[in-house]
Formats: sequence, C-alpha cells, structure tokens
Amino acid sequence: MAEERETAQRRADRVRAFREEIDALRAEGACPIADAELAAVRDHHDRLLADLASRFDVDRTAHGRQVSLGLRIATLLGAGAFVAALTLLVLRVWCGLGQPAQVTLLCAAPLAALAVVQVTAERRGLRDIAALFAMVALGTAWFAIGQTATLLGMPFSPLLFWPAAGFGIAVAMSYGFGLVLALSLGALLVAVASVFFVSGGVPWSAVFERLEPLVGTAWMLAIVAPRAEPLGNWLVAPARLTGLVVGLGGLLVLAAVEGTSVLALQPSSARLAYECVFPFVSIVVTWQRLRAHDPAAARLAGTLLGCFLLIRYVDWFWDLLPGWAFFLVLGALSLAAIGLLQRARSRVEHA
Amino acid sequence: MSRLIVATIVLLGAIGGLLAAASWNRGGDPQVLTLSEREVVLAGPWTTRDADTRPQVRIRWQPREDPLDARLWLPDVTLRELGFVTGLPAGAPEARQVYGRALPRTAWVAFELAGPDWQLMEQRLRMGASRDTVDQENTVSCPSTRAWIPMRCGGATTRARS
Repeated sequence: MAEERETAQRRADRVRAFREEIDALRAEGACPIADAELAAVRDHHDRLLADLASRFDVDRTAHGRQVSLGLRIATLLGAGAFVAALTLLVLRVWCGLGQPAQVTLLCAAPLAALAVVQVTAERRGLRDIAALFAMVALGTAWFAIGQTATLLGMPFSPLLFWPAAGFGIAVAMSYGFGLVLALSLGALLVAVASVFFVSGGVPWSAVFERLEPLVGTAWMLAIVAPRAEPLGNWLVAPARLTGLVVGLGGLLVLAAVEGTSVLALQPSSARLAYECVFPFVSIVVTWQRLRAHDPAAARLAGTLLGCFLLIRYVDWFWDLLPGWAFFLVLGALSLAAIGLLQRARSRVEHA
Repeated sequence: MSRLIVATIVLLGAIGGLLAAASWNRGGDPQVLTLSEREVVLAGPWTTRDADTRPQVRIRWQPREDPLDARLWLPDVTLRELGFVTGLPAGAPEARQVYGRALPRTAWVAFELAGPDWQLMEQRLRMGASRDTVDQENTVSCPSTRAWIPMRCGGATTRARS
C-alpha cells in the first residue's frame, strides 16, 4: 500500500512538473505542441490526478505538499497528546483495579488504536487519521509492556525492547507508516546494542553512556537498509535515515564530549580520534547521499557537520579571540562554506 | 485476514510472556518476611491532579559509604569477582581517572534482617567501638526503639537503624 502510494505520488509530481514546464514554454512562445493536443493531455492528466487522489490521497499541487507537511506535524502532536491522555487515565484509575483488570486495561488501549488504524487505513482521505492512531498504538503498546513489567515486579530490562520494536515494525509494515518504523528501529538499535553490555555484566543503560555499540549498530542499519528493498521500497529511506541519525549523531557526541567512549584510551585521546573521524565520515556521507539523490540524508549529514564545526570553533577560539574577531571569522567561514557547497553542488549536477 | 494481526499477536505474546515469567518466578513455596513501618515507609504523593494513584513503598536501608568501612564489606576480591579492575592503589595519582572511567557492573545485593551480622554489630556497639561514628551517619532514627537491623550487602553487611 505504501509502495503504491509512493509510486502514485511520484506520478502526480511528474504531471505537475510537466504542466509547469508546458506553461513556461507557452509563455516563452516555444511550445511546439498544438492547443488541441495539449487540451487532450490536460484532460487525461485531470482524470488521472483525480483517480490517484481518490485512491492514494496524493498531493496534486505544491501547496498540497506543504499542507501535507503540516498534517504530519499535527499527526505527531496529536498522537503524543492521545498517548499522554491514555497513560495518565490508566494511572488515575489504576489503584481501584485488580491485576487482571489492570493488564486488560493496558492491552485494551493499543488494541483499540489498532482497530481504528484498521478501519481508517483503507478508507479514502483518512490516511492521516490512520497514521495518528498507528502512533497512538505504538505509544500505548510500549507503555503497556513497560507497565506490565512494573506491575509484576520485574526490573526494567533491555529484553522489553525486543517485543516493543517487533510490535512497532509490524504496525509500520501493515500500511507503511514511516515514523512508526523509524521509532521502532530506534528501539531495536537499543535492544541490539545493549546485548554488548549485558553479555559483559554491565547494566544495559550504559548504552547511552558509552556510545560505540549503539553507533556501530546504527551504521549497520544504515548500510543494510537498501537490502530491505524486496520488503518494500518505502521502508529503505526511513530505515537508512534512522541509522544515520543515530550513527552520525552518536559520532558527533563522541567527538564533542569526553568520557562517552568505551575504548581503552584516555578520554581526551578518544575524543581526539573521533574529532578526526567525524568530519571525514560526515563529508563522505553528504557527498554520497547527494550523488544518490537522497536530499534528506545529505541535509542531515551536512547539518551535523555544521554543528561539529561550530562546536569545535567555539571550543578552540572563544577564549583565544576577542568577541568581534570571533564572529568576524565565523562569518568568513560561513562564506567559505557557501563557496564549497556551491562547488560541490555543481560537481554533483555534472556527475 | 487483517494486516495488523501480526502486531496484535506480538503485543499479546509479549504481555502473555511477562505474565508467564512472573507466574513461573512466583511458583513454589512462598517464603514470607514480615516487615514493619520501621523498615518500609509509604512514599509518593497521591493528592496532585494527575499523580500515579498506586500506593508505593520504599525500604529504608543504611548505605555503608565510609571508605574504610567499605573495604571491610566490599574488598578488592569481591570487586574483582564483580568484574572491576582493581590493580591500581587507591592513592595513586591516576587512580581517580582510571577508576572514574570504569563501567558499572550488574550485581545482586541481598539484605539480611536480624541475622548473625546483626549480632556481630550489636557486640561492636556494646563495646562502644563505633557508637559515636554510627550516630552521625545518615540513619533514620525512631525514638521508641534503639534496635539495629543489619542487612547483608554483597557478601558483607550494611545496616539500617530503626
């Protein structure tokens, strides 16, 4: 379903680009196609777009795409609000219930959300509602798993991340919910990385204090993401992006904060090593993603590289330079970065 | 069949698995340890608008953080058994950096209530060897009683005062 929608959206985008170009050619007086032929094509495209919009809820115009972005933000906020409401309600009525009723209540919330997803996902025009309730199902399921463990007096274990991730991936795969997939893969990364520590007798929460296992797992996800293409084209991008967010973000923290490495080196030496590694890796990723026409991943890598350079610049020069010189050099460096990026863009376009 | 059947099975399987694990863990003859309000206190606010309404309790116990005392109940041998590297003397210049970077380790701590260690501690207290020091520690005092509850911790003892 998600794959079909992606294909439909790409077709709608091509139609929109074609129409814009024809309009521009006509304005310049360089359109070789007769008006009657153009009218026939336009009629065909109108029917096609109406059909795609009714079947796959695609955006037909540039304004429609902007509205879709707003819808996604509203979906995220709405899902967060529903999950908060349900968890607070459960905690509120919790005390007066017996254990079977408590467990039933915990399971009921995600199952009810799944039922709404089932009803809305295949109805025309209700895909955003389905996405919202998919997020609600994910949040309430994670709450249910964690709360059931607490209820039964079990310590919070990384083993809980496995079913949490499995549930999220199953929901995401059902109708192609990218954000649900990304969050679930994040939980999966924590589950896999925690094995490294738990097997060595170290508490799993060290995953967030010493970052290499998490970063390594995330890079593996980013690398193997394209191999998931047979399962569906749509899941490659969110999987790769999740891997890059955690992998590059973790590398940035390793390069910026001492004491976050598990390596048997002095903390300052480990940070220095990552200071050398991070710019190289982020430049390679930016370049490679630009060539692969993956603007989201390229933007992410470029933004993190910018953050790294800013952190290093402040770290090295804030005490060394007077305020005016500090910001003047910063402005000059921005100009240099613009020049470099323009050259990179022209190279990519001509590659 | 619904596309969401797999998700439903995963969720119910996870919850069922937790219930089964708890049931297995609680099987066998129950062993009962009676604690009073001296050892267990109610905790948590219940009056705020959105507070968790479950009653919660916490166990009072006495940490043994004094470095000299800690060497008695948590010696180097035990630390090595737990997986820590302990070759460097504590007073060495680089000790803070080396030990400060050590990863935490998972270990189980067993508390002992009114057992042999309590008797040992009672003897020490009677001898008055450490009475003054102990009174200054972070203990919860109860005016009605002056009993001590020693608790076993990592093979040695810690104590809570009631």
